[in-house]
Amino acid sequence: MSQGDKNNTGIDLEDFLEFFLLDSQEQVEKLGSGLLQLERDGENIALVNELFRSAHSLKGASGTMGFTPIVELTHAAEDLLDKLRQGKLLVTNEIIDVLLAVTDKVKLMLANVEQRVDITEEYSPLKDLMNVIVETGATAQPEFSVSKTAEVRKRVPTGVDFALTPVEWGIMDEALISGKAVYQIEVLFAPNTLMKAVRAVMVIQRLEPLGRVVKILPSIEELEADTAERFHLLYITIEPPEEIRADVLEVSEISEVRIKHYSQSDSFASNKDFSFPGAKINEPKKSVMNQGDKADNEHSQQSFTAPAAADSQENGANQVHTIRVDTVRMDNLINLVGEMVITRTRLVKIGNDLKANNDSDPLVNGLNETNVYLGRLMSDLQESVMRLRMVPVGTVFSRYPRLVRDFCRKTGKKIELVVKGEETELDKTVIEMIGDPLTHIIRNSVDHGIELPEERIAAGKPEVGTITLDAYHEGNHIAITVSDNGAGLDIEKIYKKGLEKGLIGEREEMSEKDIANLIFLPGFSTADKITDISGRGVGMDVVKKALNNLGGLIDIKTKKGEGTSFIIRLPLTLAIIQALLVEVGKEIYAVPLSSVIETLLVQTSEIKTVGGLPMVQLRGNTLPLISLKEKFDLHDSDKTQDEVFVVVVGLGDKVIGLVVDELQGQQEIVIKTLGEYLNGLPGIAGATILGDGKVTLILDIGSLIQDILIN
Amino acid sequence: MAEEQLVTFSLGSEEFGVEIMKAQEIIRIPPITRVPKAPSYVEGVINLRGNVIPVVNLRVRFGMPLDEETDLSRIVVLQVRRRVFGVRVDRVTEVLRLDSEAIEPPPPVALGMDSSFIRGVGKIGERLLILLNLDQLMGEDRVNEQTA
Repeated sequence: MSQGDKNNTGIDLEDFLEFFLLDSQEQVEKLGSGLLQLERDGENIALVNELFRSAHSLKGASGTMGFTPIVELTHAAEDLLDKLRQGKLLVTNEIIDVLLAVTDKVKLMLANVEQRVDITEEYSPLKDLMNVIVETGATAQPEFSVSKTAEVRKRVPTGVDFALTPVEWGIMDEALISGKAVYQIEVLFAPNTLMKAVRAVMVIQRLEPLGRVVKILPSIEELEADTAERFHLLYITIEPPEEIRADVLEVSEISEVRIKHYSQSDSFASNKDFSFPGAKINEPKKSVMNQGDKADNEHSQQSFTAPAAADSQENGANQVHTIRVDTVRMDNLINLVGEMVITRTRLVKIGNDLKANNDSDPLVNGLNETNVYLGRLMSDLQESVMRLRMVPVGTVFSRYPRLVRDFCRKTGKKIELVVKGEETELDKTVIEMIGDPLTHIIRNSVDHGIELPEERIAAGKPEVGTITLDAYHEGNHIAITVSDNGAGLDIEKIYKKGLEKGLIGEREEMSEKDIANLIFLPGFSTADKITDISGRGVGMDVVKKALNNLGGLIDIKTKKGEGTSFIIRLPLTLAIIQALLVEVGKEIYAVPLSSVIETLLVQTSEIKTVGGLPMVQLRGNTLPLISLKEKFDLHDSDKTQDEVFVVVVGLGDKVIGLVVDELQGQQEIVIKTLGEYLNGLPGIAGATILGDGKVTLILDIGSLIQDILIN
Repeated sequence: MAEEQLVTFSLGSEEFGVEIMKAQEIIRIPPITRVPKAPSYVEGVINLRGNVIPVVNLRVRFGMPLDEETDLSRIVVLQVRRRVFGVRVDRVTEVLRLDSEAIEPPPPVALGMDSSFIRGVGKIGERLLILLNLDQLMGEDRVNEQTA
């Protein structure tokens, strides 16, 4: 059914790459939003831990895939986060800036990866900068010697350079993520040991059943020739250090075993030596106490039980179990369900036809009962399938705090972005498309809405402006609002501009609301100067169009001096809807039932033309009418009618009537796209296939309404 | 690429060819739903096994006079750059192989139609086969939005 299936011949690496990209992009997003939160809540250690984890898994994944630049960059970021975690550095705007720059850089690198080109992004200045911060921050701590931090920066606490390959880094990072511990084991030979290589092999043989030896230094070959007194191992296991130690000591002519907790970073606690002199066995706790800084005791203790394990447990508690599915497969499923819905309507039709002929036949009644039951199952199935496509709107909202923050840093405006209703769910397609229009609106609010702090104080308002981003259910629609408590739209200026540009007539009577709506006309921009935030000529008309394409509507409320609200209304789902079928000039169209308010039978004599627009009085209000026949250049039906049907449709507070020939009843329809060639036709939202197999077009009420109200 | 395999069809007295790899299937004319405000050459949309695809009336597209639908009228379903659409033709004639050398560039003054639709002209003995440039058929002048 879908074309995508034919392309499933990619090799495995490609698949991994896709997963890697998805996962990494998610981690980068997490980092980005977490950092912004951290900027406000610098003391939040749990948050720092979370960020650390994100940076860590980013590093791990990149290591496995062999993207060294990302590994190095995230590693440095990890070091920095670790300092924050230990309270050795305090969260400052500068640090957040640097870390945000890292997320940006990694994003660019990931883009390189996505385009299947080499990573060309220059990252060493950023890395060095972080290292400087880490170092200077660390030297400020008296209990930390400079030499020690320097060692630490080589990734391996004792300064032993294991020269790990990216693959090996990957193995270790995976181990840490899966809750295993990585130890650096230093094994000392007894004086005059012969055949050191053999001893080393024996040690490895002892260790292998309980874990994995990643690397041995010097190598076995070198040990054979060398007169080394010791060798180092990197070892992944879940065994406690004392067990390892006991095991290794069972090999003869090994005099001492020192086990260090290897951690991916220079964590202070994990740096501690667990040294076990050959003869006596210390309780690990004691040895920690002996060597450790007393103040840090608790911390080290905790780390000793493998920090990664603790982390992953913590993760498990609030983990949401999800599975990633290719959207193509999901769309296929939805398509199939759609086909089933269509087929069921055919079954129902057959059932009804049969019933008309053989009312008393029990078989026919059985068929119809089964149809009813099938219908119930189908709607459950449909709902479940549709829910698969629903994504919380928070995934889009999460990018705006950064936008607002960056702008504030740039201009000196003080703005707080309040985000509400993130859990409100919307169809994935809508979510994907809503980002850019929302960005535009928020930029607008930030740039034109909120005043500079001085102006705000002068106006007697709190210095910090507020922009509220909210999402909530409203009937069959989802409303998203962007409101600011800024200056409000300058109605007079807009009016003048409208006159200037010839968008409105000199003597036209216009309500404030109508004037405010002028900003949605193409080519309208009231910004006196063009900033890089907004006002680049592409205006709110683009926003409006994008929303219309989604079947949505946008509305403004503004009050001078008090602020502006943009209200966006979007359909809940895009795939299966209830529709009213209407007949006009021998064609059948589907009107989404969610926009239908009522249907009327109107005498043609009651229709009056006001200002070129047909209108009808409805309970004291004038209802503008659209004749679909004229709108769509349809053939006239043969007879002239005294009465016409009017379908009253509305979106938000805007209501119009569609003049049609016949009402054909209500039906569930599956929305299909008209394809790229015919997308965006005015007044048409898509198509559907009816029970008889014929294609029927779905009317785009949003665009019809905006069309008539603007002209 | 010594030879090309083509599906050929006719409109009036002219014969046209499209690459067989781009022709997905050939179907009888199903009910066609008119699409208001679409370009005039888009005759409408049809249901192709659950997918809605546009149908181009090639006579309109090439500025030829319209003709009655006959028993031989067909829709050739084409796939160009993963987009699927149909073209209505008077009749489908055959599938043939054509030597690449028998294909000449489009004549500067095309055969009474926009030369951008023509990829080349193939010669089979006395027959002239107009090879269509499918990218241009639907792609070029996209629907521009106009409000009534």
